[in-house]
Amino acid sequence: MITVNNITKSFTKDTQTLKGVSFAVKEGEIYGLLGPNGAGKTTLMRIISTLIKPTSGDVTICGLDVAKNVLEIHRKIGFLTTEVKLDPLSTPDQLYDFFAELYDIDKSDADVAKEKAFEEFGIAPFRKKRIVDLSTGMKQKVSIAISLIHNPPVIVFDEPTNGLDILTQKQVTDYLLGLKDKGHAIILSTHIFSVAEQLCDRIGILIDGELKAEGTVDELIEYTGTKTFEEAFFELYVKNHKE
Amino acid sequence: MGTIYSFKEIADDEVDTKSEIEAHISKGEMVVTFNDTYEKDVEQYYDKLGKFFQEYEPDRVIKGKMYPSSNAEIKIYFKEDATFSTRSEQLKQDVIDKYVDAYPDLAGIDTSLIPKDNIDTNSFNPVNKILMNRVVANLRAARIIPQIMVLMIYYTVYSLALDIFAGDRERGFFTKLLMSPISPRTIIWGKLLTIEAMAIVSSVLMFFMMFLASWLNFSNDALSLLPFGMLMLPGQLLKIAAICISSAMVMIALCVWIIFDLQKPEDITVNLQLPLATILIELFIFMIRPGNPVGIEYVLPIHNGMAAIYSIMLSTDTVATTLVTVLLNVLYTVLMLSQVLKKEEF
Repeated sequence: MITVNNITKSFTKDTQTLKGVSFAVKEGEIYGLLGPNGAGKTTLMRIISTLIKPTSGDVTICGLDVAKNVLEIHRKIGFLTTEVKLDPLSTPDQLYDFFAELYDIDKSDADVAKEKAFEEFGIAPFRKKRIVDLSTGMKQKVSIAISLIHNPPVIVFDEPTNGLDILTQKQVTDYLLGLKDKGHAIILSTHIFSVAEQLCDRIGILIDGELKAEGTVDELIEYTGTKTFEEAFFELYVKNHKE
Repeated sequence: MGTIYSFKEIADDEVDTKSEIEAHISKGEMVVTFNDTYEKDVEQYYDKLGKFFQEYEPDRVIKGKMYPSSNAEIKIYFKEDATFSTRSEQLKQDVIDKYVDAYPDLAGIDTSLIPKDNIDTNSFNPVNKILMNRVVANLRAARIIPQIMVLMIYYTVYSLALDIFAGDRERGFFTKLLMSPISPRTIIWGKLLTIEAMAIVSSVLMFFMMFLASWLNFSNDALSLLPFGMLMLPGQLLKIAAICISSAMVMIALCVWIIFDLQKPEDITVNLQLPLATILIELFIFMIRPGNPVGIEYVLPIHNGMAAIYSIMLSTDTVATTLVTVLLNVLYTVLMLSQVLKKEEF
């Protein structure tokens, strides 16, 4: 469903943020990108989401080249990040309706979907409150509900649980698992081991812009000859990170 | 003082003092008085006129040469502020027309050759008075209104652009919009047009407030900041509107260019505030500057808006100054926006 093929990205002439990254994600799979800060996770997520153009390489989603079918891809992808915030003076209700219009969703269908999403995330009691007055967790839930308004087959989630309390974290991870069961292909980036272990079917270890290893948690532990996933990651990091 | 004539049926013996005349004229009435020997004087005048015609050719009389004089005297009292044009028309019909026919008939002169508008009714006309005030008011207002309008437009553009472009990008909401199936250019155009509309609304409101301020200031003292009677003609208003629209365009393009060229919010704020500071300095310079704007002033973006409105208010503008200002602003806008829209990543 998602194919990332030999992606490179240079923001300046001297540095290369991504150095030929390739992987694929199947339908009903959660693929995790794990790496330290500055490894290039967010850049890669933004390239997959069409927000940044790669220097070379290509990405296809549902058979469509991301670089050539930007608006089509936007209908097939839900991009979420904790950095993406909503308009502070609008209410969840107003924002949901606004984005439903942007995605050209029929008003009655959007209303039904809105009620369901608001009920599922517990947004309903806060639907008339301004975003600025909501808690961080509630803002993130509203953001998720709005990002998935068009029921996209592919979900790209950059640091899904950053800054969230444990209750909201659990709600978000449960929701992602539910989406996976429904057949959505999900790519998420994280630097939290527990999230990666709990959610991801396969994990790619991204260090200094290169995908150094890829596999299930067990495969990575076996590959590095360590006992835990955390140890496996540090083993890979020590071996591959250049000062 | 003899016979008193008023448009309000006043008995002869009712008004005979200066204060009573003032009481009438302050109500907007007109009081016409004739000297005590008026009828006798007129009679003597006719006699003189008869003799005059026996001695001279009529065409010389018509030319007004050596015209015989008379002691007959009509005084008309009125208060300028309270007397309206309808009243002056009434005066013309009831007094001037009535008496102007009297002696020429007797003198045997063709009355059609005598001008009947002995009193210029325009001098009673408030519209005419306003137009006279306008000359002073517009001259003074030109020293402040163009700069305040440009300042207001820039302030609107600056604050809105800072929020809906830089703020949305900083908050990450811009990314959310870019992820929708609407093209980035459409999103940017939507935001640009919103700012343009708000800038136009603010400039219209600002102009209206200035107009109101001038008309609520009953002093037409030239030293007043906005003297009474500031007035723009429809053609001037259209030109000012075109300049405001094009100025707002160039300001929006400049702000958006700065916002998308810089990343850090503090850098953006400082750079956006520079034109604001420049306009403020210009505001004070324009208050004391001599003469009309020179050619180069119509070329400098943002400044040209002030210069063009200034010359329109002074009625020293030409079609060329307005056209150059508007067209150059459009050109600057296109150049700057094309740089912004060329970007592949926002």
